Amino acid sequence: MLVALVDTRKDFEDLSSTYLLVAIAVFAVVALGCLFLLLRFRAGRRGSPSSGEEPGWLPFAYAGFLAAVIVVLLVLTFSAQDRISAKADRPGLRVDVTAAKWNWRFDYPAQGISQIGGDTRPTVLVVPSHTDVRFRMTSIDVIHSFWIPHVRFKRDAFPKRYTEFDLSFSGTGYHTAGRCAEFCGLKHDQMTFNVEVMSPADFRAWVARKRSEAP
Amino acid sequence: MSSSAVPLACYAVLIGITAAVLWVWSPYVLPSALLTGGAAAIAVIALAVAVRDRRAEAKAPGPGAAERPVPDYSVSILALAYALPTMLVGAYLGLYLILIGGGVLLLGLGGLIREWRAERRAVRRAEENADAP
Amino acid sequence: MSTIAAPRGGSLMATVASTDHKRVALRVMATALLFFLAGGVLALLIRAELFSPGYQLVGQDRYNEIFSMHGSTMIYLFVVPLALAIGVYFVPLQVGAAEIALPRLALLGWWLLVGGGLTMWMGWFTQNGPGDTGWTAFDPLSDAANSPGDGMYLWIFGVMLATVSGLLLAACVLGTVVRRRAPGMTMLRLSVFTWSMLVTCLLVIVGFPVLLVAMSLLFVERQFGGVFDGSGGPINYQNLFWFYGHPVVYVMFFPFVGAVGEVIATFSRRRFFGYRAHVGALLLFTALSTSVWAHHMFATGQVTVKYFSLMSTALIIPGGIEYLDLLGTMWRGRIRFGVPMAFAVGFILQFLIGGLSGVYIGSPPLDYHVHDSYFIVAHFHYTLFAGSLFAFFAAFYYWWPKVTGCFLRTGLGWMHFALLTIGANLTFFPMFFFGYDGMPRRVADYSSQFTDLNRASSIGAAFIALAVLAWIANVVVSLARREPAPSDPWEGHTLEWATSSPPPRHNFSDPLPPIRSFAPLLDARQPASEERAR
Repeated sequence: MLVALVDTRKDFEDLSSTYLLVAIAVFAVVALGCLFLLLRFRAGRRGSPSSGEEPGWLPFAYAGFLAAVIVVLLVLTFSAQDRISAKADRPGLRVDVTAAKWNWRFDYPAQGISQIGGDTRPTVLVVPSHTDVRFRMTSIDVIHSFWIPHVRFKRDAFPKRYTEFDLSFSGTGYHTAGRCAEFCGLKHDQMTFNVEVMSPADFRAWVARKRSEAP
Repeated sequence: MSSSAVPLACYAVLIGITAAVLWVWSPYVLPSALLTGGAAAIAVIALAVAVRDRRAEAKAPGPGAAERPVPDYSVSILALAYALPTMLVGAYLGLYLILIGGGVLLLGLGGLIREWRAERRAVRRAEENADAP
Repeated sequence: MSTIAAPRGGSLMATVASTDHKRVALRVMATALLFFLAGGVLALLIRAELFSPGYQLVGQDRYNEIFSMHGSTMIYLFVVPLALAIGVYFVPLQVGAAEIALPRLALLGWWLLVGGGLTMWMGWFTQNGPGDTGWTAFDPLSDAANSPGDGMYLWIFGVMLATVSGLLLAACVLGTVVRRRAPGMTMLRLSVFTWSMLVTCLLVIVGFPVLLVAMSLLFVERQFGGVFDGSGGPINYQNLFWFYGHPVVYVMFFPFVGAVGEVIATFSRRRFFGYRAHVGALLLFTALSTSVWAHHMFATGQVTVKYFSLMSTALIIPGGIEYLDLLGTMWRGRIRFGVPMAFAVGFILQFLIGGLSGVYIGSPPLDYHVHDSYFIVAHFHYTLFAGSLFAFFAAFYYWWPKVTGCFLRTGLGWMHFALLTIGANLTFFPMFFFGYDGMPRRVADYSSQFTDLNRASSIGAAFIALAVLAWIANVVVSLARREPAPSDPWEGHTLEWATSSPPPRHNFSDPLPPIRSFAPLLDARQPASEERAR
């Protein structure tokens, strides 16, 4: 299970670069266009105001051009969407996520261990790198949202429902933050969790340690 | 485009199309039902407007509605403006508020009916004067 | 025209019970602008609290109330009523009508806005505070178990009343276009602004009743339970809410882009470019706007993301055409770059930033990261604040002489514009960055890495406050000095400029000029050889 199926961060970065480029280009064209129009056609310059015909085909041609841009963006988006929402046949690890006001619990059903934080300690999600991790998530009260900015992904946790998604984490030996991203009341801004990514070998060792600690 | 129903009909058709596509594309019922309901509502209004436009044209060729004179001030509306929020808050705070609001509502509606009948009388008088040689 | 012997009411009657659409519209605008100031104070509190991480000014409980009431006030009590009120004032004039349709309903609409706003704000005086579940009030957070207290009920009632108010005002405007057009005013001779108001009314009719349903169900859920209890309950609430919640943001956009169209045409001294494309684009815009709402729900995993992504991205087409028309109107014009034009161009560029960020988040894989972060806060403040509000000010400076019969001061106007441009961009542009970097929205505390950009944002808010003060000063000084304005100070194109400033009780005391296009006054001014029958 070392070949990751889902790489949300990479798909995001590639797609985001394209969208950002298009956005900057469009803004630049419109801004320069405005500047040009304001200067070229300011009152006092030669030429009388236009009362002439406008080419009737222009809006249609422009709409056609925009439709082509839309097609390109959607092809890129839909393929990224397919990759992100893919589910591995046999995920390398399963983690059950339970969201509650205002903390997180991570259960590892196959390993028989759990991670739960306290009032001052955020829960730590420990995951192996380069592995498809299958998350299965629910909430016990209101809607929360599981967001790990580093992997560029979030999913809402609803009560009385389960949602599943795959994520993978590249690199090893780093910590990153996770946050609740759906307003859930009083301590929404403190409902953070930490993520610790270990090499698969280190992860197995960690699991063994946790199991021996368990009461 | 002489009838104001045309843009309404266009809108109804367009969201009828997006609704149809959604029915095919999506397994979820509520979104498709909402969009279809919206299309239906606008279609009904478009129809009503088209009928109204046809009738208005038949009655007086060329636009320009005979306007019903509305009074410059309407105190009855103030009664409604008080009654409706009161009754709404009464749904939570208690029956007494609903009753108080209901009473004022009846007063306001009564006043509106009086205003409306006075307008009808004025229109009839104006028509009689116009007919008179 | 009124043959009813109207009781000779004193100024109290004139203030509270007038059925003159112009007076009703001004009352609605004044009410909305008061709520703008109230919501603005809440915004300043937010930005003051967010100047540093941790809790300096207010605790979490109070903070949640403040941002919820800020959003609720700005949307339900300020921008929506303001947008409709501009239509209530100007649509009857622009279609050549003596009266709005159903004037008493318009009067009721104003009072229900007042009642709704007061009801919502009464929540501050309750034990548990006002509604504090955001302007969206998602279930289960907003149910009785998670948000007990009277304030939440008052919030629900306030929203319902404000929504009925919007429905009434929109009904009057739509009725005016249907029933009160002057002879010769065919649909394809309606002004650019009136068309934008027409489609706004359609969105109100489709979307607002669904919000009433959602709020009613939320009320029943809180009182009796059993409505959103099942596993599908919360998502049902969101579908109902956003089916209103997306159209409403276009209700807060169309009137303003229409007004900008009028401003640009007038101050470029040429006809609006691409009128028919504008009409078609508006209809397409409206239909798509009704069909995209679940893009607010991508992160739930319970909607058909590709459909809503397609519909959302397709908005580029009518948006692009609208921009083509606005820029095309400047082409071959003789542009007078005064304060109204400055605000109009500010709108064009800043709304574009909002719109482009909207295309970005219309892509689910991108939205999965930035949803519910400050990136979204930046997006909607660019469209609504740096966008629609700038367009409102363009319209304000443009139409003020017509409404009041006097001019606004130019110096104060430029100061207002400069401060607001600096303030809007300094406040909201950094939000794209710290949102992207991982700061969620609706938080009083944040990770210290976001401090510097939050400080920039808070300083920007101070500039906005100064800009608002400059604007208020301009209003006060201009009313005091009363530099008189003629009926048509800008050489306008549309019928409201064919009457006195301000217009008389029944709008037109002289016969209307011939209506042969959407710009009748421009036609009348042009020599006959150049005139084209439309």
